Parts: sequence; C-alpha cells; structure tokens
Amino acid sequence: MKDSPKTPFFQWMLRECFRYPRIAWSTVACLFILTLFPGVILCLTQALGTTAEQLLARSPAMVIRKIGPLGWQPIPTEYVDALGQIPGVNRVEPRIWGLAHAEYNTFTLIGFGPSAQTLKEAQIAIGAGNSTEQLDSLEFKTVPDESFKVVPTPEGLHMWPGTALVNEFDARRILQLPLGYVSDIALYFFHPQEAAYVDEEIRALFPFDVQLETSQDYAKRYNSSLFKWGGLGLLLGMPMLLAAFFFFIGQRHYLNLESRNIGIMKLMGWRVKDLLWLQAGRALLLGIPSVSLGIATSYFMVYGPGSRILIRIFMGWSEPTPDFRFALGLTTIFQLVFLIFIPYLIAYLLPMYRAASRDPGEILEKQN
Amino acid sequence: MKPIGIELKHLSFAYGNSPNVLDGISLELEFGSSYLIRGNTGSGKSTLLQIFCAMKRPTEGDCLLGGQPVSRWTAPHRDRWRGNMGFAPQDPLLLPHLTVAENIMLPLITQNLTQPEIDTVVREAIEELDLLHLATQRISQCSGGEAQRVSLARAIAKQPTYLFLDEPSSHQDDVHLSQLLSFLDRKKGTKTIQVVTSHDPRLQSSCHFDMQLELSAGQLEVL
Repeated sequence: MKDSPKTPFFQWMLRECFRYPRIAWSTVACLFILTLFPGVILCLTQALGTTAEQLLARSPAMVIRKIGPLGWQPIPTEYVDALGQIPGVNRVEPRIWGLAHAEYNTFTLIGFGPSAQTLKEAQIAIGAGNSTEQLDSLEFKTVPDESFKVVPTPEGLHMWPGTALVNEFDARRILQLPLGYVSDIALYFFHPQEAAYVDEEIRALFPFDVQLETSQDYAKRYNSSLFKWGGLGLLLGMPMLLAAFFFFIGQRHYLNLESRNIGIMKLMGWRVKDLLWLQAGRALLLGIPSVSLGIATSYFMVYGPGSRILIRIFMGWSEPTPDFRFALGLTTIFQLVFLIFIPYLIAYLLPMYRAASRDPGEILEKQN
Repeated sequence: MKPIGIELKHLSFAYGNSPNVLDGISLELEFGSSYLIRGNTGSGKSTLLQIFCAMKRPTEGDCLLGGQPVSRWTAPHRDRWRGNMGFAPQDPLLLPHLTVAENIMLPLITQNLTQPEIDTVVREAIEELDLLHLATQRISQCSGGEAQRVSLARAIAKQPTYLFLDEPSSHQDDVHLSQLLSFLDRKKGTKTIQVVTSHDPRLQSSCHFDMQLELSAGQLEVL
C-alpha cells in the first residue's frame, strides 16, 4: 500500500479533509446529530417490537376476564375444567395478580405459577431494575399494613421491573381475592392461531360477560403504537432532506469560493473524475465515522442505561420499563443510511460535479 | 525530420468583436525543440499559449495538438490533454492554502506515481529553482518572484510532453533565470516540446532555444 500509485491521492484526500478543521468538525457534528435523532426513535421502535415479539411468544394465546359495571372483576375458577375441554386448548392457567400499593411504589403483584409456590409466607421477590430492588423488606398498604421479606428472584425466572412475586395465599390476601376466584384465566393452545376461532364457544360457557383478548389482538394494538413511533422516525426524514438541501447550498457556496482552486487543479491536469473522487473521499471520511457514531450512540441510548428516560419521553410510560434484549436491526441501519447518508452524499457531490464540469479557462476568466 | 507536435492552420483568434489578436497563423512546432515566442505586451503571446492549453478555442482556422484538432475537442478531450502538458501562466495561479512543496506536487497526484517517485521529482524541482528554504512555507508567505518560480517548478516537475511557460523571467534576477534555463535544458528531450513566451531581452539572447519567433500584428514570424 505504501508504494502504490493510489497512496498519494489517498494521502492528499486525508489532508484535504482537515484542511479546514472548523468546516470538517462542524460537518461531523451536524451528521452525528442528524443521525442520532431518527436513530433513537427507529432503534427504540425496533427494540420495543423485538421485545414484544419475544414476550408474546411466551405469553398465553388467550386471556379471559370477567367484566362488570365497575370494570374487571374476579372470575370464578369453576369454569377451568370446561375450558380445558375446548378443542385445541393445551393448558388452562387461572392467574392471581393485580396492582398493589407498597410504601415506595405500586407493584404488579403476581401470585401464581410454579415460582410463586416456591416462596414461603411473607416472602417477596421483586423485579430487577426497580428503585426498591436493594430493599430488605417491603410493606404493603393493606389494613393492617403487611411487611414482606425481600428474597432473591427464584432461579430461572425473569421478572420485569415493577413486578413482585408472592405465594398464592399472600397474593389473595393483599388483592382481596376469595378462594374459588382468580384475576383472569389464561389459555394456551397447541397452535396459538386457533384462539381466534373458539371465541363463541368460550363465551357460551359463561353466564356473564367476559372479555377475550388473544395475543394477536395485543400484538396488533402494540404494533400500531410502534408503527406510530416508527412513522415519526421516518417523518424525521423530511427535516433530514431539508438538512441535506442546506448541506447542498453550503457546499455550493463553499465550492463557489473554491472555484478558483478547482480551475487551477483542472488546469494542472485534474479531471472531473479525480475531483469527484477527492470530494467523495472527503465526504466518506467525514460521513462514515459521523453516521456510524450516530447509529452506535442511538443503540447505546436505547439498549444502555438511558433507555428508561427515552421511554418516558417518547412513550409516556412511567413504569415498568422493559428490559431490552440487544438485536442488531439491519432494516433500521438501512433506513438510517438511506435517510442520512444518501442525501448527504448527493449534497456533497452534486455541487462538485457542477463546479468540476466547467472549463478552467471559463472559471479563471470569471475570477479575473 | 522531427515529428510535429503542434500545428497551426490559418489560426485566428479575436476577443468578441475586436480585431483579430492572432490573424491566420500557420506554423509547425516539432518534438525535441524549444521555442521562444517574442512580442510586445498585448501582442497575443498569452492568448496563443492559452489556445495551446485548450483554454481558448480559435475563432477561425485550427490548432492541431498531438495531431488532434482543438476545435473539435469535447471537455474530456481537453481534460486528457491537460494531463500531458505543463503550463506556467503569467499570473502564477497557485493554491494559497498549500505549501510550496504541495503546490508543486499538485499535478503529480493524479499521474499514477508512487509517493517516493513524487517526492524525488518535487525535491529535484525545488532544488533546481532555489526553493528549498521555502518548501514548507505557504504560498501566501512567498514573494512574487518566489511564487512564479513555484509555478514554473510545478509545470516542469510534471515532466510533460508539452511545456508552455508564459513570461517566465518577468520577476526573476539573472541568477534565477540562468537556473531556470539550465533546468529547462536538462528536461529537454526528443519527445518534448517547450514553448516559452517573453518580451525579456535576456531570454532573447539565450542559446537555449532552437527557434525564436516574433508575434506582431497577429502574425508569427520566424527569426
């Protein structure tokens, strides 16, 4: 590489890049910021979508709730056996859960499943990432107040922030759920898609109104909100195009100032393609690190410690915040490159093409 | 007989509606020769060199450069031609933000040379034209004479087939002029043409040139 005929051109390109450091650094800063804003929104959308997909894959295909005049009501467990007889149903899970107010926070209290059975009376496991995770004990606002000893999360169980696990007996007491009643009933199917076809059959089992929500309904609702935010990210493409336009104007102005130099270079034997390569090299040398850094920072902000703040700002969620699992979304990167890099390259190269295509005699004559 | 590098065929040139500066000139310039075109200020010497550099087109007649008629050239033709020629205009036309060495290096960057080759050529030109002490200085810090020597070094260092120098002696003392002429002597080869324009009597008395021509009233006369 050292003695290659391409080396002098590349070295020249490097020198040219930082010939005017103020312009170079402002280009880097502009591109970084231009990438960061849509980057954060698109990454956040991607992260929420991926996490939701993973969670939905593990969640029940259908949840049955009893609806009363004041909203959800405890549902009797006497229908569990009948639900298990419906064709396609693999498992029926009566669930005990609900909101409970503790001294520092409101928790989604869970009192069902094999993990709940491992906890003794007055023991509680708290979801990670919560401000109360370092506590030794936790007091719930019941009459009278009840104090729980905080124990480590049962092995193999992933708990979201804002959730707390107790045994069934404690959960019933705090949530005031009498025996024979549960919060809702979850159904698991051999094929989750079948849940959509047994709607009538399930309703016929109950003498009261029930709300049936399938995982597909939930996914649709969730995706529509994600689409809204993803759409916003893409809408930011409009200001990006505007920014590219200003880049274009800036470059044209800069190259007008540089036209004498371009004329001299052409007179000295530089061809249009040489000047375009020089400009493309400058654009890539400044653009690739800036856009990459913008994308990397977007990922860090979404998957790193800043994600809670972002979710509060963009989604309006206070608690709980999901624990995102990192996924490199090629579509997101492609969208960002398409939104930022292509307009930037055009804005950089087009004015140079126009300037370089002119005859040096014409350029220099105009200068004189 | 030497091969012909530049051929003028009834070449005329006029600025707008003004009378012809060059008026029906016919001439053949051969490879391996150096030419001095003399003439008073405003006689059209620079215009003729600018036609040779494909910066201007003849208004009538034609100029054949390397056997190709300039009047039919497209922009890429002109770009290619400039890759083969070296030109030092009267106004040095240097890039002020670059150093002396970088300015001399400028035409060599696109010539498919390695960095050591470029460094050798640039060093030779810098030494020959007494610019060594200025090599790392910016052009803006150079005097008029120094800037002109940089421009000459840039044109000669490229080792072009066609070398055109416009009034190269105008800001040079005798020592630097003699350095320039001996450098030109060494660069003269059988496959090159050197064309120098000047109204400086010091150059007219030089034995470097194979032929001297006088440009007067639009006509070129061999002396």
